[in-house]
Amino acid sequence: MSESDIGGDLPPLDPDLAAWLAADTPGPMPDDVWAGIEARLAAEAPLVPAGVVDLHAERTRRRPARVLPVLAGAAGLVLVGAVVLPSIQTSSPAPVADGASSTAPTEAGPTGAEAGVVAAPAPAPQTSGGDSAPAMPRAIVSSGTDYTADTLPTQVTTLLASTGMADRASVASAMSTAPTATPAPGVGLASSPEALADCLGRLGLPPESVPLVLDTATIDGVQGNVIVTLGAQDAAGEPTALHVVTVGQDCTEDDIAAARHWDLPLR
Amino acid sequence: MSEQSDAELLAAHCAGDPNAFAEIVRRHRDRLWAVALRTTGNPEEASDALQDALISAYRRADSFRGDSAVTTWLHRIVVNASLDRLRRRSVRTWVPLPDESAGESPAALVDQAPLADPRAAAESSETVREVRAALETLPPDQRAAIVLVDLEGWSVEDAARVLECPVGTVKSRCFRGRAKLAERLAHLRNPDGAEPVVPPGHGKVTTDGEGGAA
Repeated sequence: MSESDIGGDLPPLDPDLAAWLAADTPGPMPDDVWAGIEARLAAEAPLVPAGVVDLHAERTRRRPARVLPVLAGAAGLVLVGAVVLPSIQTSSPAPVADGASSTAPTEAGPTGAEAGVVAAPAPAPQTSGGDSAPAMPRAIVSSGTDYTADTLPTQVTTLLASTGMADRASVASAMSTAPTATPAPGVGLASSPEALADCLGRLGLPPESVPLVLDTATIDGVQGNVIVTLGAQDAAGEPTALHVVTVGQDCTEDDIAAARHWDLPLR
Repeated sequence: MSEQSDAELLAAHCAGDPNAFAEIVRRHRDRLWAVALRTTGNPEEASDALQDALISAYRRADSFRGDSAVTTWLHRIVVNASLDRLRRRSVRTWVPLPDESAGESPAALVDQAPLADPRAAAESSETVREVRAALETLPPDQRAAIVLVDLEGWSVEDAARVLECPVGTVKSRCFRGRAKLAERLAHLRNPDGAEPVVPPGHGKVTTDGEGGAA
């Protein structure tokens, strides 16, 4: 149905309808709702003015009660196998970017839920505005985490929980908003949307890939980046999986060659 | 802290003040609650949507550019979170049963006017249920426009800022939403079966399309 302007001012509300609507007054916010909001706000870490959030320090301040459910949630997620892409041992990004490879039997299905898949970059949807211009992620963090192949699933799940993108609903909600992270000059891929987009492109991800989270952390003890992008979607456009890449600090050709890719199904 | 404007509090929050954001929310909590409740039509979903929205706003505060009021920005996030939930949930209606309202104040259930007549009170309570059920049937976008403009008293222009759409779109959504509400609540206008009464000088919304309003 068209939503074109009806022309002129909106007519006054029919008095009967106005009276009916006025009969339904919601009243003040219930105390228990306010208590819940206060508790959640109190559990949040204060904002850090810089574009990079020090989650490492934040994590040490948080109560264990907030961490445990996150870890429990991580156990419930089935993360596809952490498989190094042997095909990107060369400097060519083509094997990763090759769309045909996404249908290979060993690769993830629409939901990325099959185990042991080679997580070639899934076709990434555009932002809600259809803008494929380079964009900053929804969140840039410096978690202080040392990611390893064995523990990355749990670590990334914790990272996503920390940034409010732990499930389909929250990811969809984040996608409905404009990117909020601000460039952090001098911090590698966080320095500009172009730097990040360039790296993602050379990693073989399609140009319209939507970066969600960038964690400037260490991978197996070496300074690098963990990049989470939007992965597969269902027929309704709801996100069903995320794509996770670990890559070296400066996204050099050597870093590209050593990069690792995962698909992470969303609850 | 209470002397500070919303914008000053938000700036303080962005600078690391751990209490500033909660103060903003405290100031506007009842209006935010009303919008979330009326948009979702369900207290539990309203509570969840509100919490999600406020945490999101807390974290994204540095994205506030100051080109609208802080309350507009907050309402935008709350409305979006409410609409997200509304669109995701399966089709079902929420019509409170009488005992569900036991904990609510009478003011939350009935007209503000004194209700010495039990029949009037019952009719008013029934009206609330009818109105909520009718609102539930509106498409989310129309419901959000009706909630902001006709229930919360926002101007069409401010509602457009909250909903991030053109003013004309808000008018169109309100117009169509009103028409549907009027149709679905018509039996309240005329409970005894008499001819509908159209007050003179007021445009009765009777169509689902253009025109129809005097």
